[in-house]
Amino acid sequence: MKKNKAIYLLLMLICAIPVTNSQDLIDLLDKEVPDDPQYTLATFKASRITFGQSVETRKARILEINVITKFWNTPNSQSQSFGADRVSARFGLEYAFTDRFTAGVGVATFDGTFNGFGKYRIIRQKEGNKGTPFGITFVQSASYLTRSFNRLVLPENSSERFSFASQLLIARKFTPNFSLQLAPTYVHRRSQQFPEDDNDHFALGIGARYKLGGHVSIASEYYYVANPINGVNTFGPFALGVNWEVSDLILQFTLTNTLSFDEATVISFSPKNFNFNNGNLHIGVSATYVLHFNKKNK
Amino acid sequence: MSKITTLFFVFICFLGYAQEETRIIARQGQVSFFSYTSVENIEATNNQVYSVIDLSEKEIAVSMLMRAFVFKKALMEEHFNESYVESDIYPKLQFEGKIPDFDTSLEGSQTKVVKGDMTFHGITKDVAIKTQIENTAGNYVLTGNFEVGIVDYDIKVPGLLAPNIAKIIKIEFRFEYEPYEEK
Repeated sequence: MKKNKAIYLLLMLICAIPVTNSQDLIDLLDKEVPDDPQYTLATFKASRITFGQSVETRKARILEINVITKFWNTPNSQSQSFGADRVSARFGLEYAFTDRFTAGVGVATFDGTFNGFGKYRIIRQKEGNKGTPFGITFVQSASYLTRSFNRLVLPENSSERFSFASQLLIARKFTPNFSLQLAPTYVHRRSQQFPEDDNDHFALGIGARYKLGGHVSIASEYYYVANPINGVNTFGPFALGVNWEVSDLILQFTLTNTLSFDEATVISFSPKNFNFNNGNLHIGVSATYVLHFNKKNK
Repeated sequence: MSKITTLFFVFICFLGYAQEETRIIARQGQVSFFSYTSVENIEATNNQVYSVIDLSEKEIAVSMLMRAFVFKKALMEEHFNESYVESDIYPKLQFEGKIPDFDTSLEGSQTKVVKGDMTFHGITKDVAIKTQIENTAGNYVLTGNFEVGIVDYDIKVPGLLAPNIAKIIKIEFRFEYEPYEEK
């Protein structure tokens, strides 16, 4: 009899194991679905925060066509011009060769500057366990002046018409709505126009984006230049803008004191301070159209 | 005691084990959605959908990462995650339900209604989905399609894009199951 009881107990014990082992199906799936870190999407939505480069690059085989315009009035203007006294535009093309490398070229109408850049994502921010807390992108750009504008005189010697900007962009998307970027920048001007001034400038940029809704965000940017040009009065470039994304089109509206479009000139030579006076306030409208050559066929 | 009790315990035992053995899982299920309008056709596929069925309890669960949806256009994929489904806040779609009159002993094909709760974009709704169940020698395949109103799950579409995105999204799914073994 005792032997029998022992067998019953053993049977009951064996029974109990699988029953207690049963768990909720959804908990079971939670263990199955991978928890790999994912690349953070859209730290900034466009390749520019406002006038300056952002850590973002497009996915491989995407061409961006962008047109950036700026409108402003001349000081003490008595002109009868429609809308604004002056307008400048930059036409640019940017192509993503890989998910990490993008190159672009552009030309600006007002200052006649040709500008090209290469942009490489060194580190991309990743979310989740074992993620990466921030992203780093390196940008090298070169600008070539083709005519005098404002108080910048076109150098005789063509090699002196170049200027270069190297930037390390360090950005973090803190929350789904808020991103911040720091941009240590080195600008080298070949021009000898201001002999008293350095040809090498160091600047630190700070830019941020705050998402207001699904498709609208506000963005602002400022560059502090440690050793600015003193030959003429220059100021740190500043901008305040609204970004709006609609399917393949990204629209950016900005208020800024910057005159040019290329990084080297904007950072080293912004001869106006940011205020609402005629001649100083530039209203920028930028449209970027994104063309996909990477249509994945399933 | 004696024989009847022994048999009873053995029976209970088998039930317990049977329950364990009757769990089947799909780890590479496919879910596609389609938004067809006169302006634009949008479609995306997720090939990493997880589903598990408890055959004895007739229960089913589905879970997937929204980030795993692949679009033809990379920017559209970014907009989808960033502006529409907000996958950084709501990373998963989950479904928990029952197949009430599921006949597990039947070989071949049967069409049943799966009833349960679908949680997506922070909202849980009751859904009933007509599903084709294919059973060939214990290998189950579930397929079907259903429609979801984007308003039901609080997906906001800006006015300007309203003509581009369908109010009703068509969803297709296919899950192939294998016996479940704990990882």
